[in-house]
Amino acid sequence: MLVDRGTLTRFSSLRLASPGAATALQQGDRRSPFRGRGVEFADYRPYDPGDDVRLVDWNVYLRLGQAVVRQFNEERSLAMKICLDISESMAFGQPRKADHGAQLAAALALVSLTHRDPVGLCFYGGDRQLTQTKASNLDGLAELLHVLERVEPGGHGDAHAQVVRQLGQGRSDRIVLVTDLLLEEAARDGLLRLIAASSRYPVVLHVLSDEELQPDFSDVAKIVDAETGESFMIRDDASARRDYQAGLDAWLAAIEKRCRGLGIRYVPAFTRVEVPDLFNNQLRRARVVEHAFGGA
Amino acid sequence: MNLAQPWALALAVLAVPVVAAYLHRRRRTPLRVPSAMLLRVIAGPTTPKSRAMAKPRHLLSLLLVLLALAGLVTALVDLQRDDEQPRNYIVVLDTSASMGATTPGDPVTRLEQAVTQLEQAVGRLGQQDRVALLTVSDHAVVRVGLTEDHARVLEVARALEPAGTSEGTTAALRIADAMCRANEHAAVVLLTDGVGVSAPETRCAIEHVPVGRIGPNVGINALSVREADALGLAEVYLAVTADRDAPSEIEVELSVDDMLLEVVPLDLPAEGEVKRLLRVPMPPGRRVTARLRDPGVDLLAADDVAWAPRRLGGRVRTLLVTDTRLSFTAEALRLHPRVDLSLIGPSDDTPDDRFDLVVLEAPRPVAALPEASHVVALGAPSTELGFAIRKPGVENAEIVRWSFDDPLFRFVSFDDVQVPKANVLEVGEGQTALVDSDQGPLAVLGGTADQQRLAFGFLPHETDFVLRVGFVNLVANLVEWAAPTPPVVEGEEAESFALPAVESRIDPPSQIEGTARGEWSGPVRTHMAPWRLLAWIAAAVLALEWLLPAFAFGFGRLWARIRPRASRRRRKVS
Repeated sequence: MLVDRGTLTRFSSLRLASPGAATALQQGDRRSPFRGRGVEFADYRPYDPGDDVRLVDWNVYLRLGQAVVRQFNEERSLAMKICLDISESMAFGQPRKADHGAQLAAALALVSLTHRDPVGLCFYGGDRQLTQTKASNLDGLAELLHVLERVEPGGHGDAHAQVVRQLGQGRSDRIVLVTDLLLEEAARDGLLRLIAASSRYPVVLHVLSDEELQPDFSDVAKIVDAETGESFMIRDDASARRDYQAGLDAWLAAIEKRCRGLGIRYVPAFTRVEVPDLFNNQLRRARVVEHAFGGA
Repeated sequence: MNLAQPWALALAVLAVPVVAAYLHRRRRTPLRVPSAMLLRVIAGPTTPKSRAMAKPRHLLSLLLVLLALAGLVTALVDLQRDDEQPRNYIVVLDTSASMGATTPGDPVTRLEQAVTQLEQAVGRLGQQDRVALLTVSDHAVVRVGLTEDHARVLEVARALEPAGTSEGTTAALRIADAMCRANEHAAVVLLTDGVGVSAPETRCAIEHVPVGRIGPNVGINALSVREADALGLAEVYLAVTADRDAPSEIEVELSVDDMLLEVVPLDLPAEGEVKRLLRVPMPPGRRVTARLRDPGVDLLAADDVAWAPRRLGGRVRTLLVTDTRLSFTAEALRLHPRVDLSLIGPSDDTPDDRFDLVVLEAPRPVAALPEASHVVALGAPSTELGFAIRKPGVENAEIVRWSFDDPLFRFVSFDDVQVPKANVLEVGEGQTALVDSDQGPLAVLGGTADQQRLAFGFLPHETDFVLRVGFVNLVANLVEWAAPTPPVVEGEEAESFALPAVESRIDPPSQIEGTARGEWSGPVRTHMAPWRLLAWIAAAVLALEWLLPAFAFGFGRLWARIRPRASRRRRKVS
């Protein structure tokens, strides 16, 4: 897949928006539910053997004769996992949906790693089983991009099973699914429910190309599904285009409604919109990213 | 039938990629999509109505494109009938002064009319036809050789200006005839008003396209000026020709260097010429100009003005050899203001000076003559001078002819001149008889490269000619004949101009002998209209088949496809 590295620097002023407490193991600058080392006092608790004696509050001990240790709110990083669809259907479109998705993933990874939020990258939907890649700071970005550029879409794998396998390899606060969601309804619903259950802040970046939004069926005699090989004839009268458009609108509305029902942020990320524009408009409005310094 | 451009057949090879492209388009019909899921809503019967017609429609389209290609190729190869071989047209265009004549109320000159006719005829020619342009004036000039660049011919023709006479017509038609004979499909076209034009015998037929109409004209046909005396009196010779329906009066302005000198009134006949010799006091100047004042209805403007150089003549050193004490010739020479006269006897010593004119009234050996540019022998010219006497001592010879238009005899008449005794001269090789009597020549002009010689077979003082004013005029003419050419002053226009009477008489003849009158419309050929039509149809079919759909809805999609590819390529580069 192609990644335009030259434009990645345009995203360095953004950072991931945190809708809640961060739970990554890595220390960071985001509020977390964990108590431990930190600068913000949280509470006292009775001293247990093994606690660091430096945390004992000696003033309380002299006054009450009871040893207590001070507890602080810990600051952690926001762990994000990006799952990129690399099924055969992602190889279509001008530009290819896979390239568009890869650029999105790379930009999101850069935004995360710039602020030391760890990123996990996994692939699903293809024939080949690919291991996921992780990075915890900008030093790991090069490897992420390298993996992204080497992976090519193709095949038709079991998306649900592959995602399940990958999600079991670590926790994450936010899952970002980059996909065209061209799955049968049952498979699609299962996948959405899976990511909704696996993460507190799931996001779906729905990648569709113009060839799918406004297809050209002139001189087309037969339709062949690239993944399944299914083929059939289509109508070419005037009503066919209207019917297709109506069906497409209904399909998109159903996906958005289902995502909303499952608590998933649904963001249309069509290829007709450039990635920088997507970040500045759709992703910021959806509170997926925000300005790093609190600006507009 | 033959092919004018056989190389164009190679374009037929284009049919191969066209057919390949069509076959490719047919095979494109099955479309791979990322997912058939969304398309199931528009699944239809296996052979929809419009698709059932797709194949024959496609074949028809291919057929039309191939037909269009065939039409284009055929039009380009320029299929011609054998009788439509490219032709050569040699156009001889008269640019003499009479072609500057205009019709009253219409400022378009005959030359402009001729150029317009040329433009119309050239516009009807085929692209392979070649045209040459020759112009006729005082000389014949090949302006443009045979060429297929018709625009070049017209460009040259439009830049022509009417001037001069039609003397070059014969030479031009001979050149045109030679060019015409080089190709069997050639024709000579003569565009002229016919004034002063005559056609020589040629092998190729000459088609004369007449230009202009008959109309009234008046013009100055002669103007010359010479010094009459040393006090500034000048003789102006003026001739005006009229060609009108009725007699009329006209005035001629004489001016020197734009300074009006005199206005000369003239009574003109309906058709004819009026000559006038004027003696006017004239200051020295560079040029004398005569201009018709308000000529009225006049077709030709070029002859309404004439000019001549007004020069101060130099001195003429003259030697008279005589044996008489009282010589009429000597007296006449003394009268002339510019003559420096020397008199010697037949046996006197030869002067050392060089002379412009030596007059021999008495015989003297040539070896004893001084160096001179002109020699006039009177009476019995010696054989040393190159003259021979055919009949000596002829009595009462009657002068029957003299060259009245020769400058030597201007204002000289030999009518009823009594010549009691004369020698009839022999006209040798290179000599010209100027005066003839019933017995034979009495005056012969000859000479060598260095010296001009004139011999009279009688002595003037032995006739009554010396009693006439013509004798003085003859002597004056001899002085002018021998006068050295005055040096041209810087800036002086040495050339004089007066349109010859033959050009000024502008009535076009109905038929020029040796030519066929025509309009140059017959031989003009056109390309085969069906092939041109076919070519247009081919272009229209191609436009409908390829360009119109592209304009209607193709460019948007094309751009939508190109733009992402271009951006991908940019990404790769970066």
